[in-house]
Amino acid sequence: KPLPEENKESLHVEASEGNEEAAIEAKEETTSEKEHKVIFQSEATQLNVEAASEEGCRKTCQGEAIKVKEEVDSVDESKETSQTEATELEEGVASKRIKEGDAPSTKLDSAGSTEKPDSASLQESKTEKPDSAHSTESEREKEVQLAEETKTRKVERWAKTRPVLCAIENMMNSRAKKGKNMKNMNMNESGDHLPSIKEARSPEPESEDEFEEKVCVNVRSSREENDAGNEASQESFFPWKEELESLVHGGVPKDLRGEVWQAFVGVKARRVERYYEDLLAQETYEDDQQSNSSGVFRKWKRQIEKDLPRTFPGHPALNDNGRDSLRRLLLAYARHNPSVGYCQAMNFFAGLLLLLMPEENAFWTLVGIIDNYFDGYYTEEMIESQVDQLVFEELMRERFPKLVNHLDYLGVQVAWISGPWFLSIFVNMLPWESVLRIWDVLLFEGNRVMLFRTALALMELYGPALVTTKDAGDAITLLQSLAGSTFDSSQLVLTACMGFLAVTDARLQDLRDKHRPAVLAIVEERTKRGRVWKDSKGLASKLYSFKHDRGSLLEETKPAQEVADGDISNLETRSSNLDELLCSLNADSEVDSLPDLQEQVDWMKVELCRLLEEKRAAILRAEELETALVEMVKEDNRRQLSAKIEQLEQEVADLQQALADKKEQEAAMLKVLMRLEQEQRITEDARRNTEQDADAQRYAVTVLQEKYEKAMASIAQMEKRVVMAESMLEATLQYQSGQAKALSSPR
Amino acid sequence: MSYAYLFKYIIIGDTGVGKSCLLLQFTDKRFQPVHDLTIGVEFGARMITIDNKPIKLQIWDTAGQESFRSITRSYYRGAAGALLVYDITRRETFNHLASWLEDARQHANANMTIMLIGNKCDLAHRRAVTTEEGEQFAKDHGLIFMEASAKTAQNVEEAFIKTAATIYKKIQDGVFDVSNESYGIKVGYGGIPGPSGGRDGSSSQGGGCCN
Repeated sequence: KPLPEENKESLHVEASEGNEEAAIEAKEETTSEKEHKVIFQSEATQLNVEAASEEGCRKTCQGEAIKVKEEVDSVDESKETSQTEATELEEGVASKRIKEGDAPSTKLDSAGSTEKPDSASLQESKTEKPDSAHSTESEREKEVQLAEETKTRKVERWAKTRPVLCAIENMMNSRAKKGKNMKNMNMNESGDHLPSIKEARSPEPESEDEFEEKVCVNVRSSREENDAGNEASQESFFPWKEELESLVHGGVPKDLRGEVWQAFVGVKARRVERYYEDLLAQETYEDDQQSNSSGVFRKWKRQIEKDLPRTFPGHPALNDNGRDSLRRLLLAYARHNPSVGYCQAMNFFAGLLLLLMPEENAFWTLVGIIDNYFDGYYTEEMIESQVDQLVFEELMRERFPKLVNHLDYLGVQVAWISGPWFLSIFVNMLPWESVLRIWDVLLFEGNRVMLFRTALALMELYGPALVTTKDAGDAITLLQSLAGSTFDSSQLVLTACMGFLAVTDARLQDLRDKHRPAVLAIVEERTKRGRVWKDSKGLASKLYSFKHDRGSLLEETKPAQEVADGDISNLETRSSNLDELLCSLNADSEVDSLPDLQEQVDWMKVELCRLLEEKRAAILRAEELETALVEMVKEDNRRQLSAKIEQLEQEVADLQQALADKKEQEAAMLKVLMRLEQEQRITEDARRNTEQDADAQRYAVTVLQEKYEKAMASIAQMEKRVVMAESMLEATLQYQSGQAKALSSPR
Repeated sequence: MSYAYLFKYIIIGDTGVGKSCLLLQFTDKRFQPVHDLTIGVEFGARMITIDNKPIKLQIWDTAGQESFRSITRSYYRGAAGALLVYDITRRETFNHLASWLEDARQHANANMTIMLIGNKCDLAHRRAVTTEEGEQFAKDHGLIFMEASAKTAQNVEEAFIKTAATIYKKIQDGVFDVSNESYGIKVGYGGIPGPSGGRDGSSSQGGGCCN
């Protein structure tokens, strides 16, 4: 397909106009005549308000920023006058110019040391106004084109389908601007226009011309309706989002795909006027200079050149012209983002995009995909890509434990399968139709969730076959044959989107945060090891050479400098970017101050390189000293440790001695105890003896008592007998006396 | 398919030196002048016969661009042989050999057999690296060396088979513990060759005789 050349040309012309405006405005700023600007702006806004009342309703569905810009555009006349005023002003302060030459250079100074995105945003902020002004301008122009129908069919289509996508574009633009997940905020705007897309979809089978016209009509009618019912439909924006989503899941119609993708990625919001041309101009400029372009760029350039014929070889669109576009696109991207530069796989993305849209739009789409959706994926160490592999493996283990076990058994790492899928976003891995359908969803969602869902869906679909493989080779061959096989892409997308709803961006982010430290640690260790390997001469000899021969050390630092080359060249591009910017700013009248600036830039580049070299050398030296120190500290530690060990040994010996003493004491105590026991036993015996004696005596006592009692009884008996004898005696005596009386007195 | 041994190979080297073409020439016996570049890794397999024993080669063909090294490093593990490829018409691919070797030494097992291949030797008129330099480098680093051409198929079979023969000899010498699969060698089940002596050294048929 030939590219819509005319359209491109018109874009170029507009772009250059836009840039002049930008230059003038920027100059206004640098001349620090801000008062005048304020006046001009307030004037413009006033007129805007007036114009708004006239044209407001026509464009209400468009984003605020664009509306204002359009109105600015509508009061073109006033702007022109103010522009001439500005030019006059410039002439007026021409004498001050030389002084102000310093101002930009200091700006360069500060910007040169900051990150690339900063300088990009600087550019963006300066060109923002004319850019959006231009976009509405071009839109109006396109309407004119529509009416006239004089341009080629391509351009017509480009113009006609554009308004349909306005709504989606607005939605996605804000996402591009704000970063992520602001979709819902803008859904009301997108909702209004969905019917048109739906209608546009239905007549697909018809001939293209008819189709185009229908789209056009549909668009117009629906837009008018929508404008009327704008407010009414604002509440119902959530259902519309779902509908759009399901439509995207169903596949974007192929004729609209390029446009829709641009809308999804937010090309309009990303686009910075002249930026692409500047990148290309820089390229050709350095091409002429030859020697100046730094090592990394030369490397990328060679690589791109090598990969051009290896990108979709044999595709009819990639003829010489197509390859030239592809080359320009990739070179521009490498300049745009040196932290990525050129990485294989990007050639496929760029090639695919070029088949669907004009070159510059493809550039901005690529920028959106790689800088936002796949941020950190294609950089030097591919950290995010590695992280995603770990995340995917965890998800696999969670979802398909049996399959993963089988792969483990075969000795196949999950990453061997999913790595190529993710890195190529399935390009060349699956049949084309499926790839496009996956990209539809991926670009719509604006994150990498679809990658995971699709990969999981593929595992679900092919898992049963995989489990039966007996060999790592068979498993991989099975999966590699997917690209050539035919299968139902709708089923794949459906399985991916419906079957794995639990895989959300938030979940993935959590998992990424969990796995990232491990990847970073490995990368860090590797870089460290790499460095150690590089200066593997051994510490002693290095210290020696450091003391005795500084020259050799300097030589040693060279490889390290080569590593740093990348940084330097990045800085160089940044500074040369700024260089470009300044050139365009001063294009009209400041020709004489230009060489001066150029010189300063060159000088600063040299200075920067020198400083970086110095820094590198210093770092290296510091590292050496550090290793030496560490070594010394280790030595020291060893001595201390051995001293401590000795001490501890002494203590142990002491303790053992004490233990022995204690044991002796214990033995002595035992002896004493035994003696005591014996004594006790003896006394006890004695006691027992005495007790026995006592018993015997007690027995004797009782015996005696008995005897005594017997004696007493016999005594008592004797006494009785005595008493009796006495009484008998008495009686006898009485008798005798009686008798005697009787005898004595016989009368 | 039965085999006495299975060897895992890995093909490494700068991008565009013809790694995928070598693999394609070896597995499919054809040459594709332009084909899609490799993202991540590609895979191929073929049976060969050494010392009358069927041996299966499992070959992993990696992406060459520098950025992909962090990904391709995981493939070194468990590789018995490596084909380190450079392009004789591009000096820088030869100059990068040391860093590839360093990667291999760090991430593969120490007994991995490395074959150095100077590819594209059919383009002798554009030669930028002499055969002697290649030989010297191989000698210095203990590698086997061959110049080959994926286009004309010159020395392609030989390179793969010679590597396999070296590994085989190491097994015979008892360098490997073949029961330990981390060396990239797997002992097959149908490995005992049949009595028929009709195989030549480079036949590619599977070991069909043993079933």
